[in-house]
Amino acid sequence: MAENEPDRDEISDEELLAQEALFDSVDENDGLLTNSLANLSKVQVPSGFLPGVMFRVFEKHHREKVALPFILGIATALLALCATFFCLDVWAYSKEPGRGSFSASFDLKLEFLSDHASQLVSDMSGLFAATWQIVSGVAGATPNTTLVFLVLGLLLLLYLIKKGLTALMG
Amino acid sequence: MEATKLTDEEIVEKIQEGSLELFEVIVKRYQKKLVNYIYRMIHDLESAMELCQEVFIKVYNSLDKYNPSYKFTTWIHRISSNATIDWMRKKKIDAYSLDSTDDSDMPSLSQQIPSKDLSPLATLEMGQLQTRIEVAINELPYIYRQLIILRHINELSYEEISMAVDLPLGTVKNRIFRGREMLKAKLMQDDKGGRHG
Repeated sequence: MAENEPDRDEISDEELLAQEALFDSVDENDGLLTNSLANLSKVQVPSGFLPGVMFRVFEKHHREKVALPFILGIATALLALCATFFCLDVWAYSKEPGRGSFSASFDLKLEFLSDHASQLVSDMSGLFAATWQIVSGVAGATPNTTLVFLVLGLLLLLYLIKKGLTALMG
Repeated sequence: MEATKLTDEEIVEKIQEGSLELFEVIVKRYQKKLVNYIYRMIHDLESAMELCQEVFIKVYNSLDKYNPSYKFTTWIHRISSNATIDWMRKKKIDAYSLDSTDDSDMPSLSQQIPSKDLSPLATLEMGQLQTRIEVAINELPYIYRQLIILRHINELSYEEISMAVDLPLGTVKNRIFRGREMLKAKLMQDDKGGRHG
């Protein structure tokens, strides 16, 4: 690359000034060439170019401006909403006949939820273990990470379908 | 004050103060020049559009590093020039090649853009002349082509070009002079070839 480029060698300031002065006297306005160059057709920029650039600029700007406190604020608000919803749910539950106090209903709800979560984890683990065995057997080797995630996604989908069907069938 | 009457440097200052929407004025002012510059350097319209978008995003990202003591036009052309060289390096196009470019498959600009308000004959002649000049420019080595485009098509001053491409002023004048001589020689050669052929 360098061999093709002239004037790359170190030259002194005097030489540079001399070179500059040499071309100071050159008349650039030699008519046809200058005019022809100036009047060359230009590529037209499509109308979508400007909005495209501005969209990316605004997107970048807003992404940068979403500060951590803002994200934490949203997370806290969502958490507070969830807690409120849960408390109202427990309160409604405690108002049913024969349920006792709010704290007793709260304990019952928590127990129910933890049982439900344990059942979910247990179901998922069972399904995962079984699938892992089958896939390992078919592949004849330990599956790669991508495959594992694919299987996990498939299992989740199957589980959701199962839950949906169960809900539909009452 | 109307934004379009502000200088580039004043607009940049306002953007830095938070008037992000004024970046649109900058894009409007420079989109045509930069797209044309990049297109003439890389000969691929779609890539030129994409690269030009990247240049504007780069400009936006670097606005906080902009030194107002330099002219904005120089600065933006410098970013554009560097981005073009990077693109050419990535695509393994020799930016400093002295070989001619084979443009046989490339539509000329005059073929892409219809001339307006000209008689059919004048349109034909103008089209032919423009095609010849475009071919001659494309056949110039990169180092001359870049400077000729910046000087005669983007209308930058020698000083601005010198700062934009980071070359001494004398070298810039020298190369533009040589580039113009090469262009003239090429056009005269075509004329002779046309008459004899």
